[in-house]
Amino acid sequence: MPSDPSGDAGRSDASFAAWLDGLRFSLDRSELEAVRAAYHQLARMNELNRKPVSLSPGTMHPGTDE
Amino acid sequence: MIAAPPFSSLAAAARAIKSKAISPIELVQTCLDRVARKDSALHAFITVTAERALADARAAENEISAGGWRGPLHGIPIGLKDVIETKGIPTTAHSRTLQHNRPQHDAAVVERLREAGAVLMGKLSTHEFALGGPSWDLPWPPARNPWNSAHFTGGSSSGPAAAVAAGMVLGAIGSDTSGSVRSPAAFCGITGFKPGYDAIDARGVLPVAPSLDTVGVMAWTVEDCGLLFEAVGRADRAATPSAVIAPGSGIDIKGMRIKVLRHFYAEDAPISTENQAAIECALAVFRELGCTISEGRLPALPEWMACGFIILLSEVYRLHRGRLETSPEQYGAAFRNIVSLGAALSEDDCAVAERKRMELVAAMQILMEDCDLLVTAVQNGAAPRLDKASPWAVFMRPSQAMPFSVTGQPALSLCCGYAEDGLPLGFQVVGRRCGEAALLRAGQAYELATDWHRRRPPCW
Repeated sequence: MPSDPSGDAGRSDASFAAWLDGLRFSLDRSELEAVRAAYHQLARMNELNRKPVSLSPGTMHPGTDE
Repeated sequence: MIAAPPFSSLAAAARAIKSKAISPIELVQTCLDRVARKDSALHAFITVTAERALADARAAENEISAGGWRGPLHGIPIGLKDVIETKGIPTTAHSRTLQHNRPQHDAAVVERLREAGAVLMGKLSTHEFALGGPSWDLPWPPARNPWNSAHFTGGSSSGPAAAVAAGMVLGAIGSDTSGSVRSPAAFCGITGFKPGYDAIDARGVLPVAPSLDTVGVMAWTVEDCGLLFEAVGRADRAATPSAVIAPGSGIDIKGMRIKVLRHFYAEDAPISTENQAAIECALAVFRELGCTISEGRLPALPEWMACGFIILLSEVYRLHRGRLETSPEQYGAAFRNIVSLGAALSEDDCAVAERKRMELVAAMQILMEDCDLLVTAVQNGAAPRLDKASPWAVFMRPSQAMPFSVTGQPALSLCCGYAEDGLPLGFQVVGRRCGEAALLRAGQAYELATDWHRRRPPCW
């Protein structure tokens, strides 16, 4: 699936339409927006997985006593 | 007037059974009466195995009378999430697809319970195949929260949490793929223990995502969860709960090093301010017990969620793809719609998520090098109303429970207070890999120093 919907919305929408076409069941109209939002969220997750782990300074060092 | 349960904890009942102050038959009958009177409002049970329970109780009574007490679970009423296979007893996964499924074998955890002499009370509600959220288009309604039946139990071990919190069973076995034991425990004010990934044999438990699935235990107290884990967990991981033998003895955790993952619940996905305040109070308790508290930081919560959820979705889709293609109408809409999104994932998406998982596990190992426990949130606050709980919530905000499913570490969900509306608030204490015993010890020390686990819901 496209991994950057925020940067390429048209491509992502086309991909969503293709996914919908591939379903073997019909989607309830009331569910469509929730499913679309979830699909795009999934694409954002894919994008995040492709970025390096964001090690913050505190990750690498012992914490400071409170 | 419903009779109050004769014991408010599994451990207390175990002591009484051992000393023959109560018979297993009396205890089981009281719990069955409570199921008969309460479950029509709570829907915790899918199948009540009353005859089997009374037969188990009679067998336990005969054996104990003859001097054959097997251990703390002997004669204790236990419930099973309905994804755990039971020979000849319906195992539905709360799904129409398995409505008539009667397995030919018991799951490994059921065999262990039987060896321990536990009494099977029945099979308990879940979300369909332990995924998603409350659904109304399934053969059984979703479970309701005993603290307020208009509210959500959390899930997916929804029935186990409700049944324990309402005193219908004294302990329950659930499963946890991304928080399914810990989250409902928090919403229902009980204790939920997800041990390490392979610490309880998962054979015979219907899978969600096999690389994340973990069998977990639920009860009112950490002590109870320790007893359950001792009976069903790997022998080399079990704690040695002493309370059955010596009730009230203190537990020394002085010097334990705790890191707080405050950024998860204060920055990355902020939880309610009252839950944040309650976690601060819990940290003060650990400080009083002699633990050292410091701040810990890990990659941000959305990174854990992205990794864990892509793995989860790809695995659950592979398991259900065939039936989704041939007979999708057999599933509820929420499960069908969520799992079908797995068709959008490529092999490369899954490989990337697996690689990310290794990086995140490495980051966790570095963090844990100089500490014994982590403390963080488990839920976003108190339980929402059931009619506001969406199966799509998993897409809306990252789960506070997911990081420790990704790493396979043991984690406890404990009560740390109550919201203004009287609903429980929880938090998470996380141990090192293979550190179940130390985690349970710390949890029990916290419990002995607090009173939250003594409160009971209004319906009690």
